[in-house]
Amino acid sequence: MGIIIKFVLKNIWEKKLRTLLILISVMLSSALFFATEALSDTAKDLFIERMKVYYGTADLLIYATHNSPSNFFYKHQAERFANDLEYIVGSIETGGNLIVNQETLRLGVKGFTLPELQKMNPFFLVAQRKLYPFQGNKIILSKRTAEEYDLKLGDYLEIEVFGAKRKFLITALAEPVGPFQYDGQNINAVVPLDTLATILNARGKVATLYLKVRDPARKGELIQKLSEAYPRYQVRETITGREMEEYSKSLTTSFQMMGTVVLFMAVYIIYTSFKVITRERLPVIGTFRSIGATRKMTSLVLMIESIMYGVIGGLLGCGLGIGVLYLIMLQILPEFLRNVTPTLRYSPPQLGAAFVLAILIAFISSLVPILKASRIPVKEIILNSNSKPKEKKRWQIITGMVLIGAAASLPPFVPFRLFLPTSMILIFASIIGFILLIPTLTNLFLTVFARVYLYLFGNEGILAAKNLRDNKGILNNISLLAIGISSLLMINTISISVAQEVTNFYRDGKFQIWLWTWQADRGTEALLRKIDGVEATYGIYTANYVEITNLKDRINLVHGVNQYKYLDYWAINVDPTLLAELDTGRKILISNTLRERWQVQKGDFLVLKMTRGERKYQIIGFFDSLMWNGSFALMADRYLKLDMNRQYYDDLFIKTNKDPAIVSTTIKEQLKRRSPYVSTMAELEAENIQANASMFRVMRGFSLLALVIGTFGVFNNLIISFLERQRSLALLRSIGMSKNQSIKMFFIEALTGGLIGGIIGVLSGSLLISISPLIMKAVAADIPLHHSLSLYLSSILAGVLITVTASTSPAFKSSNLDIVTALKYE
Amino acid sequence: MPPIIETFKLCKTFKLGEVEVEVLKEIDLTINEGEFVSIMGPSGSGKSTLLYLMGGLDKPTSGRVRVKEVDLSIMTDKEESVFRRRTVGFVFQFYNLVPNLNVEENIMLPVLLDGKPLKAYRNRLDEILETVGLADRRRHTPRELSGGQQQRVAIARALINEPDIILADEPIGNLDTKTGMGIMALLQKINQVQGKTIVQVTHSMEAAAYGQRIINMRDGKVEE
Ligand SMILES: Nc1ncnc2c1ncn2[C@@H]1O[C@H](COP(=O)(O)OP(=O)(O)OP(=O)(O)O)[C@@H](O)[C@H]1O
Ligand SMILES: [Mg+2]
Repeated sequence: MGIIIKFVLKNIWEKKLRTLLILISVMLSSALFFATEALSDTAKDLFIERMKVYYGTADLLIYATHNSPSNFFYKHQAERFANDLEYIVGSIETGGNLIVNQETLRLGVKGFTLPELQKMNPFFLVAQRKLYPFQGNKIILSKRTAEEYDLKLGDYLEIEVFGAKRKFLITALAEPVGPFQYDGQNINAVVPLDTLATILNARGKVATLYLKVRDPARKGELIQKLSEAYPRYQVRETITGREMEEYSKSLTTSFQMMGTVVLFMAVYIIYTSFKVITRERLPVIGTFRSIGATRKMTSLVLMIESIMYGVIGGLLGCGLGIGVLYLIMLQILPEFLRNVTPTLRYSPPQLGAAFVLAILIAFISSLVPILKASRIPVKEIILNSNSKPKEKKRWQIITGMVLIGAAASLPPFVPFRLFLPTSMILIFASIIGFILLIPTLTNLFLTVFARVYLYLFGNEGILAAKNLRDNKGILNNISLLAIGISSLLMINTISISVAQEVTNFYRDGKFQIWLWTWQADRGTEALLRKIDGVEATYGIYTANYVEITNLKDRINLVHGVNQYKYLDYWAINVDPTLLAELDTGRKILISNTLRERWQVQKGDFLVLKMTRGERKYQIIGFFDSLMWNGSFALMADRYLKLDMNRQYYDDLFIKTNKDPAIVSTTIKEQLKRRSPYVSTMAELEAENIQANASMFRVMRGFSLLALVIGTFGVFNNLIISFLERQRSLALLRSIGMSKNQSIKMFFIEALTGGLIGGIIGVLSGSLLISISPLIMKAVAADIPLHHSLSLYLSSILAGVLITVTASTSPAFKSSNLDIVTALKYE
Repeated sequence: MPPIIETFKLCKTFKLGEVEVEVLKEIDLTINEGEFVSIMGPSGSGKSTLLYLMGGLDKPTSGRVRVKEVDLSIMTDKEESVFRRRTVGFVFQFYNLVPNLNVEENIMLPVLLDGKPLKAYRNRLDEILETVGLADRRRHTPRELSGGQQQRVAIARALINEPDIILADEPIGNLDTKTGMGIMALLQKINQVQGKTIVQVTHSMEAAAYGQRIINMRDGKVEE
């Protein structure tokens, strides 16, 4: 055994470049696999971290809704369940304005008692003065806020809450964590619960209860009981598993896709490398076998070699994976969490799985070449009479066509539930299909090129085209390029389309300012219309996350539509007569995304769970929209108002006839007391683009990785094929090929290889793009994909650049070949 | 007959690390136009080396080779290539055909490299295929041919550009006697009918008998 390992290690060591390539392939795929796996947990942590500002460690929440008799309630009904709860923490929280240095800042004012807050969302005070007893006009700020605005212990702060200015004394400063974490929008401050309750005339009452359950298994049961105890209040989990899943899924899916592509390239590289390795070892294998080694023994040696690559690559991959995870985290971390060093969460099983995957990739990819080699009869090896079956070729073409045909034609027939798995399978199918067809396609292209080349490059062109025919190295290069380019194309097209669509979405809004405020009504509208620059306003009723009980799903957003106004504010492609029809009863228009997901038709009924109970709405039509990822529906405002028991507008859309930015500031100024949330469409758009940008940066990074592996692979293939061709190159030189001709021939070959690889890459890329709407719909939104000609052309160019660059070294090596020596070697 | 290949004090040494091996030692040799010369001698005596130097495939350590009154040592890479294309044709022991090209394409390679239109050579190709007896095998790839047939292709390739000289290194070393003699008869015909100068390296007296002159080599020297 020792001897075999030594032999194997020597083999690995001898071909450093190839070893490097195989190791990189194994390493990257296991690293990406690990990073993606761990990312899902880390992302969930991140989500919890984001939500901690609000919920701390609480897992249940009780609060008032539109339906509740009052905004405030007593804690004691919940105390009946004290045995099942670790804590019951009450609070009153509100938004306010902090006035410092003539500047008005938005401030989250949290009314708590300190011991309760400490239990629920631990904080750390760094300085305090006269903090206890915590009552009256005392306030705790985060150290960060204090530093930023130059505030000190003992200073008085002017705060506007509930429409009045009040002075608060800074009595403590806290680390900017837990409840004092900056959440990206608000500065947070803690004041005594009692103080707020007194202002609001609600002494002894709270607006929100935070609960932590002792036994998580009984959470559902407790929600049930608490809902009975607080019949007209909302009882829910702070963070639902579903929200968390959705958040982490939105992050990980793209990485999974990229990881799969890298994996696929790695498998291909290892497979081809092993084809070369086994061919190289054939004489040795033959010799071994002729002196009595069994097939098993010779195969075992090769398998040990492949497992070695797996082990080494896996170890390196785990290390690299942690680094990759860290990099991804840095990229996706929202701005306001940057000061929290991301805690990477990964478990030994995940590392183990990545390691095992590495070994499996190496082993499985090399299995076919190894088994094939073992099946060649000894006689053939020794006589070097490699008979080539023609049958295989036809089989390849047919399978390839079937796979591509399936990938191209199946998507419209796939049911929504199966979108994700099917699209993955179809992507594999199309890539494999194209790989199978590559020899045939290449020959086709070559026939065409040979003619053109005669005019472009003269006889060297024909020669190059002839050399390329059935040239394994070139075919491998073309395959690698095709895999790399097509997946890059898909990813880039998706990301460009998403970015464009986001912009389009805000373009669909035909107003300039979006406003949210507490208790907005006609009075508010009248107020707004008086503001200089405001041309028109539209107050709209909306409902979020409406459950559809008969379909066990939900609609993320329902707009209550005013048929006369709606289309002036939203450029939604829907028939105005349908909008008018909404007013005739409980009728609903749903997005095409929902139609596809639910497989419903015009005339079907949806049972919506609304504030006033379950209501039956009839579907009267469909429209295209990306609002809320396409989970969007329209109904008449009067029915929404009625069934959801709404009194106030949920959103106000404002048209301006002056610079929206200026108008927005004026509005903020004028409505200061109501602390509205005002945003111009331009700001919303920029925010969204920025949120997507970091995601795309990471994806681009991944695609670059794929390109790098591809280039490595191409280079490796060129070197291998150069070594194999040395003799025929020497021969050509012996019958009169000049150095220049030889260099020229090499570059024409590279150019052609790159061109064909690029073209096939674009072909299979557009097939992949035609499949990707399935993924998009399953994961996020039904986003129309924009095919970009310039992207296609630059892909082809990239292919050419890669091959031409990679072939510089072999080209010059071949021109300086020692003819006589090269000719002598058999 | 005027001389066509001349060597003057031709030396070739190979360096193997510290050791220098003198393979050719001051060889003065003249081969005349239209001659069919056979170089013989024990293995390692420098026959192949000499032949490669005459064809410009390798460079001498010192001394000169003149072919058709031109000194090979002063040729540029381009001139050398043209020389290999048009003035000499090589035939090797192991045929050295390009495996993925068919018979026709292999034969036409020198024309292709010369940048001439292939069409102009159609008739010549037919003629040569006829001469070497492979008219019915034009579309076959080397893999589908026997050793003797492959060597005929190599000879046809050497002839296509109508060189004045054919240099053959053990052209029948890999073939059975009967096939070998067939090839020799072909070379002889080419020599006699077309007047080409032929220099071959061979180990077989029988093969050498097809030529007019034998040059014996021993330890890097010519013993005539
Ligand atoms: N590239 C080289 N490097 C070192 N030594 C070489 C090289 N080429 C040839 N030799 C040496 O030169 C000598 C002559 O070689 P050459 O091939 O000319 O012999 P030969 O007469 O053709 O022999 P054979 O009949 O076996 O073909 C041999 O000793 C050989 O080892
Ligand atoms: Mg020899």
